Amino acid sequence: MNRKQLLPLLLLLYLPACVSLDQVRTFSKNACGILSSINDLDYSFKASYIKYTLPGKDFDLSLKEPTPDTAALRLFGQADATIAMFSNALLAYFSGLGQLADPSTGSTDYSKLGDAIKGNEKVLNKLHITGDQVEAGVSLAHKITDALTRHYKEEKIKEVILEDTAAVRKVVEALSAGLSELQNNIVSDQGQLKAKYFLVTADPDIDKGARILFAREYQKEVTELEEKKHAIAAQKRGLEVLYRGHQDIADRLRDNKLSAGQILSLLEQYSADLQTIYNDIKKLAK
Amino acid sequence: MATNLDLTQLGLAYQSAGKAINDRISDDFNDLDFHQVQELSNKAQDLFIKSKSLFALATISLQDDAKASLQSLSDASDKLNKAIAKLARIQKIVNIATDLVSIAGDVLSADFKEIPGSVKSLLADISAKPGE
Repeated sequence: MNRKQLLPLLLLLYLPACVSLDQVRTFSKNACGILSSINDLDYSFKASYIKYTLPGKDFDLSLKEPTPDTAALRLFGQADATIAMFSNALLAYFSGLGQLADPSTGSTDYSKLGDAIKGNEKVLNKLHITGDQVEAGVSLAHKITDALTRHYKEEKIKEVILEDTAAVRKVVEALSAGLSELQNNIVSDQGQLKAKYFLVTADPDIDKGARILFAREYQKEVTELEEKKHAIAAQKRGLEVLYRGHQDIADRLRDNKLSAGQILSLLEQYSADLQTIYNDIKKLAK
Repeated sequence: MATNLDLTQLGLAYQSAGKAINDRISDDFNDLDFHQVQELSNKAQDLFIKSKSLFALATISLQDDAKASLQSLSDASDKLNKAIAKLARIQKIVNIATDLVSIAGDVLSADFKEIPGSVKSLLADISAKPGE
């Protein structure tokens, strides 16, 4: 390798990173946390149908559908699968970004190679080098490979973020709209429960003790549904931050107006926001 | 074909009608007999159940608009996974170089007994998938 070839490599060792890999990793990890919480939410169209529309054990005075309707089960199952498809597509994308930005991805271990050369007198003599020179070579190889790997990762991340901003926006919007429909579904569940509550309260054949039990159960259900609604609202806020963060970075990368320090502080801010929202979701969706 | 917005609006209209009936029961509860409450409650529940089917349909209809973007995201994920696999290959090459040093040492020492073992290790490195 001549000096002209070596110079760009040496420059790479000292150039500041245009994309902060650590922060991309943290941002992606927090984005994955929000997206996973959507898959882990203990509420779905199908679960709602089974719980509130089909008769349960107690107080089923209005039996709307005595047995599960196959078409209804398919419909609600498809709606759930649609939401899962959007969140899983985003999850695969952000987990790929996070994995590529992870320091352990592509880190190369030269120590065994160094030991193999150092431990072999014949090879050392043939190459006319000493053990110390091998150590120095291994150390340089580490630095050059790390710099090249970092540069490759940064370029790849930049390329993917720039190319796919519109797709991320579209899928985030679709996922958020799906979550809004799920919130609408909760409001209808609450209305349905209320209608059933009136029915039980007005029924002269149900004794006072049973009515009190039902009233307690009703309150518990309404509160749980309210918490699910808040958890979904937090997830939608998380999606908004996730999208804005992705878009903001893409815009600035495109204009080349962002310094490494600015990218870092932007990513830190978005990551912190995502972490806060994620903690809220965890508290709400127990 | 109904759009996502149409289906949502219709679902919300059914929901509002259900809520209005609930309000009516609540307001006139003391003046209604059980059968009147039963009739109104059933009507309200029916409206809420219909609204939920419309919300589910509205969710499914989102797929059409997002189809191309989902494909782009899937391509982007593939690109990221390929980049990750490419980086894993660097370590594989270093492992092969390590085995080659071992073979070179055996050849230079004329230690022919050790060569098959070193070659076996080299072959294992060559055939291993990145990340193994």
